[in-house]
Amino acid sequence: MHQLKLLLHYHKSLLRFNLPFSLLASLTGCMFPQQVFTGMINGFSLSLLTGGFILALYLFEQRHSNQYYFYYNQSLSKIYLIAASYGMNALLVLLLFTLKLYLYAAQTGS
Amino acid sequence: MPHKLEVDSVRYRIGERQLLTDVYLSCATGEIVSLLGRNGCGKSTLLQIIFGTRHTDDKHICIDGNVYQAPYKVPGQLAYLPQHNFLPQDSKLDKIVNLYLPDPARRAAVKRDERVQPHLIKHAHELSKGEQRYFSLLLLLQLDVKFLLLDEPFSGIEPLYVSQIQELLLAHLPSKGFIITDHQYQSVLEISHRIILLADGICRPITHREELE
Repeated sequence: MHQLKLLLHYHKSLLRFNLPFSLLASLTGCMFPQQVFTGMINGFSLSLLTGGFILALYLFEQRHSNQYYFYYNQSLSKIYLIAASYGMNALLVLLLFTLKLYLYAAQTGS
Repeated sequence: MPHKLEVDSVRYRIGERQLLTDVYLSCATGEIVSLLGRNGCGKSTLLQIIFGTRHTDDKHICIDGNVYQAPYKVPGQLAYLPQHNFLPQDSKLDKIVNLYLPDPARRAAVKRDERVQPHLIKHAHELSKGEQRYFSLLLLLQLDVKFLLLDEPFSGIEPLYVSQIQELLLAHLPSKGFIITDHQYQSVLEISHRIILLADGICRPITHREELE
């Protein structure tokens, strides 16, 4: 539980960079007027797991690289932190895709 | 139970320069070992190698007879105070304490410190360098580890805090061992049990303080 709290703290720090970028990327969904919402989910999810995540890692390294020692002193390595944070993003994407499937089913159902 | 940290055969090269050449260092519970040396002689590098965050193939780090490649990954072994501030700058001190120390008694020990108490509602970036340093050290001292590696704990600290930090370290001696590097030699020497001089890539024990002059 203690380690999970620390992981969430790190994850939140990365999301601060990743989220605005991914929300911007989700606007690409507007290019498909037929499926704006699902298009936005696709753009957001893709960015969250790729470009947005890499950008967040880069910015965190540039601005707060020394902060990794905050986690090292709790026996959390950088690779573990990054992998766990990516896993949390993947979980969020999974939830969004479930929502997308539900929306798709509701659309075709009507 | 007393613990023993032994660091042996550490070699580290940066480009063409052999920074560390077959270093040996040891520390036991109840001991403060000061690691002194000129700027750029490899003190911080050595501490990072011992902690496990700087890689070198040539090293032998042993705690209580067990060999570790990266001791920091094993809970309860080492903690390291880096030269630069490592606190999350956008978090309040109160939140940092709660996040860092699961044990309520240890949290309380930090929160009731008279120098920390007035700042608990502040964000880390609102503190002065000396206050951040003091708070970081206080946090690390409450961790359940055998040894603490302190990289310039007195750096930027106002004289009032120096004696406070010395007292803190001495108070934790029964349960921990310390390896300290600092440019404020006097502050370190006052509380050291052993002095090691890192020069030309090797560690040399200093028996008389005159040898440092």
